[in-house]
Amino acid sequence: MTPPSPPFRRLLIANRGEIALRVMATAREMGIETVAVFSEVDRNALHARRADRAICVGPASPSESYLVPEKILEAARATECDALHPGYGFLSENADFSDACAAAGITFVGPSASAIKTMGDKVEARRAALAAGVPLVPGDDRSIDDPAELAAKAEEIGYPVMLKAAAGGGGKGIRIVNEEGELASAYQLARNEAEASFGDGRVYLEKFVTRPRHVEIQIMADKHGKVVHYGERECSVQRRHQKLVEESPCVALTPELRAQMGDAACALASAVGYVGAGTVEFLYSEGEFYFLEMNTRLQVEHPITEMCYGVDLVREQLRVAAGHPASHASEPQGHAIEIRVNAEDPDTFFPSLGTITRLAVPGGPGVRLDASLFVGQEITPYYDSMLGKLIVYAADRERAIERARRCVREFRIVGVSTSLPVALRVFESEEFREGDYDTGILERIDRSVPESTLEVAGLAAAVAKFHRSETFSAPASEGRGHGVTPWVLVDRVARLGGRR
Amino acid sequence: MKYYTRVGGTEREYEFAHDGDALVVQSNGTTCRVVRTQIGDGTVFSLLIDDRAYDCLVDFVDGKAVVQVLGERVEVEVEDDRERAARAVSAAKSGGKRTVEAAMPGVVVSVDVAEGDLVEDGQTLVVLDAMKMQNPIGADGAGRVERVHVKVGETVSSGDPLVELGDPESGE
Repeated sequence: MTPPSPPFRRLLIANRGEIALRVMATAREMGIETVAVFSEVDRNALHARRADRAICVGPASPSESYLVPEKILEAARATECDALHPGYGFLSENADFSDACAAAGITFVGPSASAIKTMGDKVEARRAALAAGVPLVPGDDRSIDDPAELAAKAEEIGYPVMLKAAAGGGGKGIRIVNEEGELASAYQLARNEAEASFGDGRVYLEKFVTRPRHVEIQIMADKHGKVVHYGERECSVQRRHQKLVEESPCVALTPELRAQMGDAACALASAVGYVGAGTVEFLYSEGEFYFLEMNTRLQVEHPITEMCYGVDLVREQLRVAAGHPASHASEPQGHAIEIRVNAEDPDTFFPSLGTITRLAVPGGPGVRLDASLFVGQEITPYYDSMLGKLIVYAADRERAIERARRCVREFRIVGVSTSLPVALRVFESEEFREGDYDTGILERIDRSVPESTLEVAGLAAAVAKFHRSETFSAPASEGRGHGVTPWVLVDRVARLGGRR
Repeated sequence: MKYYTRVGGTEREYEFAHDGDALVVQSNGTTCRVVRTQIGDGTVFSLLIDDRAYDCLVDFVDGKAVVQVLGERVEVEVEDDRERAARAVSAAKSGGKRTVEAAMPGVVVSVDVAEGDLVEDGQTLVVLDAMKMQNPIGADGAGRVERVHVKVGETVSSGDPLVELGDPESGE
């Protein structure tokens, strides 16, 4: 039997970090040659080392390297790539870039420029959703400038309401208004913030949904008009719209709701002529779901879907980009949880910079690690603080949570602080374990380290210090003699408890 | 020789005695047996505390022990009798003087004390804005503000001096 011929000959991966490695893994398994791009500070990064070819695209600052369409395209042309995978972030949702790839005869592994444009503009996206019959949060999709009209509309929707930037994202330009008295000043603030952040001051009104869950549907659309969905991901464990823990399936959904949301997501994708992998985000609250936005790329948290559906979404992306029909989505099984590993202080969430000096990663059944970590890796301030993702899979939710806890406890990264302890707090919280949580969970759970652990840590520190004092006062000449093999030496030093 | 640790406001003391391979540890009225094995270059210890196994990593950074155990990262202040005595002497010499430093880079958004003020343990001295978060920086103990190094709007780096505190008894 001859293996099927790969859909592309050579793929440029226009990204870095774990997602570049993730894409590379599938491309390589499919027999596609890979080309990495890297910035000057990323010369030692795994993606630049592991690819078949690697091209330097400029200085550390993304705006001078990974974000420059011309440089990325030039790298693709110079290496004669026939396809380009943008990953997430960077140029993945840049409509002009999608166009430029097409013009250069390079297949952009993602949707068309028009689909990116439509979904990238919140006002237009809402309009498209409305037209496709997808439920929306009650609101007004027009940006309103007249204060009287704004007040009337807010009254009609019912307080609390939200003001959101039309060109927004990442939580910027959002204001919650509890009553009419706050409306005028909130409107001005939202406008200013939107103008400052996006150069576009348009804002619109929306009902503020209480105790919302963030539930998203994974879709895959081919070039023949077929759209399939791969169920949902629950992403409510987040802080300032930055997700920390995701799980699939979502405990709140019934099979009927799942089918309804899946159908709605597919309808929206069809309506905008979508091709490729996409995620339709919904707010879910008390049996109702409302369209939030569509992300026109592969999501960070895609692995939990892959675990439950036994699908390789990157393979599907590459197949549909080459014109193959989308595969049939099988029935989901089991439960998957993803924990994002961010280089940040677990208490303050400040980015933590440094060099990774030691690493112990979890393994065993049902464990997947999508990460670009290595000992000697420098965590620089130029890029996202996410170092990778730990994904666990088990037969049911309870077992998945226990597996996640085990793995977080086994995971050790030295040199930078990580967000891993926060995930531990989540898994230990009643709220998460019972499954009845919403996007406010991280602010509510007790984030303090258990007293019993502090006690062990104190004792460990004291023992280590005592051990050091014993070691330093031991005779230093021992084991330094000639005629001793390094192995014997190591053994002796170890027995002495010597420090290197 | 006694050892002392301070974690999250709780102080504990330890006394070690050898018993074969094990250490018998007396700590705040309780006794436990600890068998230690050092792994690799010396920062990783496998501890058997009354037969319970703990894989610990202990890194000494700026006089503090950073301990990773059970999936947590815990900073522990640790000292022995000698260090404790030395610290007491130097504290007496400097009249309780110490410098409160910026724990992270940021912009000073408020200075809540003035020179000569008496402050309590934990009282907010300065608020730093970093990554859009407001971080109150508190006093590390009671004292009198001897010097304020920063002004509102100033950018500080991690480790920059913010406020100098002295003995609360020493009047101007």
